[in-house]
Amino acid sequence: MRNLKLKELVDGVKRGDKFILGKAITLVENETEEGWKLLKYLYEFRNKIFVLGITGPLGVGKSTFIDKIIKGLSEEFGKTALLLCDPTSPISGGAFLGDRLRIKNAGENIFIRSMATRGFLGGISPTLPFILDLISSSPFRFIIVETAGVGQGEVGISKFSHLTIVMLSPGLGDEIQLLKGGLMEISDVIVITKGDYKEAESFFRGVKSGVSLYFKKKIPVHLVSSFNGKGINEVVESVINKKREIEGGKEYEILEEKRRFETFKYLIRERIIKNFVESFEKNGEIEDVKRGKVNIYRRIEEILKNWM
Amino acid sequence: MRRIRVLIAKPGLDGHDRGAKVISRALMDAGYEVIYTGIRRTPEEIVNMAIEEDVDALGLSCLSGAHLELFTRVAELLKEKGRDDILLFGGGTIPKEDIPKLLKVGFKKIFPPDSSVKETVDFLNEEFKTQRVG
Repeated sequence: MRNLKLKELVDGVKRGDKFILGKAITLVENETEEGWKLLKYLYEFRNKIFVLGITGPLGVGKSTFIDKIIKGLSEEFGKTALLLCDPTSPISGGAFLGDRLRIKNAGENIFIRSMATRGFLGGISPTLPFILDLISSSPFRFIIVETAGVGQGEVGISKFSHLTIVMLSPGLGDEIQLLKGGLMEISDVIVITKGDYKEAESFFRGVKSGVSLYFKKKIPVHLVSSFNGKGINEVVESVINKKREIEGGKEYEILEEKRRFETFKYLIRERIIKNFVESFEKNGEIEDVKRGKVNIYRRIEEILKNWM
Repeated sequence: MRRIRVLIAKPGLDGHDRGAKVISRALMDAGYEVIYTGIRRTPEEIVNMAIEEDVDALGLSCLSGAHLELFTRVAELLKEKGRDDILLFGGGTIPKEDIPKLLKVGFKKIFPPDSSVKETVDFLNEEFKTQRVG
């Protein structure tokens, strides 16, 4: 296939052409010069987006649950993008992206993309913030991001989402887990899956009482079963209401300010820090660093002095 | 950094997906980003996925006997949508006499029963050797 011209890419993304959107995301994901150029042009054409983050440990049923809510949410909000993250192998650099296979209810107005975390910790890919900006200039303005399965400390998604659902399933510990910082703190809504399991009800009650006792914010807790459909509609309604609430008040702009600032920080890391490291590799200085021949603390001070 | 993306797909009503999963895992181990469609997908769904995921290669697996119809349809749709640049390969219970027919409609390689996992990995490594990073 011939390479697409910048104008074709810009126009295609703005139109929401899935073919071109797919190509554009690859350019950004691979951090190519073309990708950066595209982001630079499209920045002026951003629209208001709403990002729903869905996170939780591996195997709780995030993708399967998304398959159940996607129809209801896309009917309400129109064109919807699904970004599904899975981990990159720390050994090979490859990845098995196995979220998409659960999605069976995707219609014409849904765009789906699987993303590897590419060595980045935090449950999301390092280029996710830029891809959100890219998609914001397309007609897909409701965006669901599913993180890779996370543990307690992987809260990257909360910097970029307007609403975060944390998903748990029966058996994941007792109320002490709710007292800990990290994952549980970033939840706006808690969804407990596998509601058809016999121990689900007592786990649900435990989380619910723990949340009302220990959390400052009022967090709704839902018990769902993707297997028999129990509780699914309630979550869809809860998301619709929460979105309306957030967009209707000051919260949306506060979250957008946070997203812009975090995106800027990611950009500094991806473009400036990486360039620095590469230039040290190129001029051979990194070898001196490895051999302990450079006082790294002094060297950094010099660099900053020259740069500022 | 460029990564080669591969979609492994199961077209039609066939539920035998152990082979597809073993190949997917082996390709991850070889450094590819692999997206797996899951079982019972239509050729239309598979081609749409290949486009949205912007993959470099598409591997089809079929053990139901319907490979000629399904594989050919996928190749046709890729051409229709302007993505016949995607490297197409396949495997499963495919009789030797069907292989030339599939190669003719655009498949670069078919792996019949008794093919080893390594053959598939080597095939892709060879195809993408100039584009590999890391």
